[in-house]
Amino acid sequence: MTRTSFNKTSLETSLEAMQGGLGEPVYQSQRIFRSLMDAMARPGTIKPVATDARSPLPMLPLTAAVLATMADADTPVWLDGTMKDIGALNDWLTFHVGAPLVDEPDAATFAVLSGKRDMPALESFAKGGQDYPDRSATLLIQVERLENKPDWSLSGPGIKDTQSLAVSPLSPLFVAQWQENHKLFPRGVDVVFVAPDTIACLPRTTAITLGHPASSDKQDH
Amino acid sequence: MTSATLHDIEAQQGAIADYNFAYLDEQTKRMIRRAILKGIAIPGYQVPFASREMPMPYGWGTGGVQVTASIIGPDDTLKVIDQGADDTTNAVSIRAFFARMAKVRTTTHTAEATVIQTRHRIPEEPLHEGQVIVFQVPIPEPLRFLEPRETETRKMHAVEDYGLMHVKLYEDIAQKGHIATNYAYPVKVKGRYIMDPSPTPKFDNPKMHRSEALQLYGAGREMRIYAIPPYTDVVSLDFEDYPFEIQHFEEPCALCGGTDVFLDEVILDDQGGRMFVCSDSDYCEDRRAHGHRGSLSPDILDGASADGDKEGTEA
Repeated sequence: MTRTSFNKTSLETSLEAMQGGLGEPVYQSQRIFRSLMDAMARPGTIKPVATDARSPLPMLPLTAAVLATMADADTPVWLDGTMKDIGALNDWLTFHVGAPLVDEPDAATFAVLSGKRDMPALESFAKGGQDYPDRSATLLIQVERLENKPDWSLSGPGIKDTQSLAVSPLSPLFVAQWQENHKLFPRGVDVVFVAPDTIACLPRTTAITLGHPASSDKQDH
Repeated sequence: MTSATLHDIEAQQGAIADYNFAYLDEQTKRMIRRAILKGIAIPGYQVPFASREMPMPYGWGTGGVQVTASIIGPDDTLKVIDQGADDTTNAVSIRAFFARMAKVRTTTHTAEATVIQTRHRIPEEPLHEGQVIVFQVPIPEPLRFLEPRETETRKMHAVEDYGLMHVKLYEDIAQKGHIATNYAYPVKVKGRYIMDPSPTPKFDNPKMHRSEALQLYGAGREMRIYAIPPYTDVVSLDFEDYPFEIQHFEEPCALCGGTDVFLDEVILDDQGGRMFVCSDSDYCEDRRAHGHRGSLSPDILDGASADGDKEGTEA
């Protein structure tokens, strides 16, 4: 079921929703797509991406810019609990992206979620079939920081030897869920981590090996 | 209206319309971009896409053109090759198309290009990190000549049932003594999907293995896009006792003296005269600019000595 959001209670709301789209959308979306393509082709590399999009909180402007670049009326979008009931955000997405917003995670082509503790399980999203593995969701996971620290050692197609990546904050269940997702190949979901100014990707082909993070919780033992 | 007048109008407006930058509309680009991302995430899998009618016939590279149009931006430098050459009809017209529709810089130099569109060859000069090579693909399904039904080939890919392909290669050996496939030689990508590398001569297959560049494949008529990310294992199918081999040429390029390159045969007269020259025109020109000479270079014919093992022809 699609959820339309025509709760335009006032003219103000709708005027607000019209602000903050991509400036020079043709060129900006091309630049954003190329960063995304490079990031997907080289998993774990951190790509700085600039945008002038301004979307209502708690969606990051960069997440909104990625959606405006990739999603449209053909691609159902799912928002997590922190975002789905924000009327201003729904209005903004309706106007600038035009994608149907859906309640069921497995109906979505793109899903936007916060990386924090209560992140829904990866397996709740569309993984595609063995015959059409491309019919699978791309998850945009909003985080605060992306760093090339060796919390994770990544390997797989697109990575010469190994690639280090640290993502925070991120649900402690993510890595275990990712291993299951990785095993499903060619089925599975693909992830784009979105930080305020950078993105990094994990296509389903990428294997995560836990590294030795220099963080304090490891030294407690 | 002459093209000069059109050009004047464009000049007056300062730029081409943004909306159809690089010919395609934005919704089409988004659809193709989504297919490209899934293609990268599932190396070697053919992602269906809603191929558009392009201002050129099928067979002229409509798939490659749509992929290039969806990724290219004003900062890119485009190279287009047709069987290795920058100066043949298909390459010249596609290059002119993008020079006009996307106002991008174009080049013939492999190292300068950020995007290379190719009809069936990979340049001799190794591609580097950050480059994207876009292949024009006529028939993306490697199993199509063995099994005409799409429903069946899809199942075969789904369950990784590739026995038929090995039987085909075996029958080649049984009947001809060797694997008689010189182009579109099937490869296995990341140990999973069997993929058609487009009708690239098998000479180029080893260049696909763990290439630094991103490889994208577009088939317009067949409506498929697929991809090989950088540093991905690409293995040409073979047997332990009949290992994969590339073509070898007995003589060097007649113009630049280059060896270990893919050569084209050029007929010189109707008396059986012929020469072999580099298929990669940029590579050949670059070598000649650096002083390398082959047996039929104009100044060799005048008496200078050639590179390689061939002596200068007596003029």
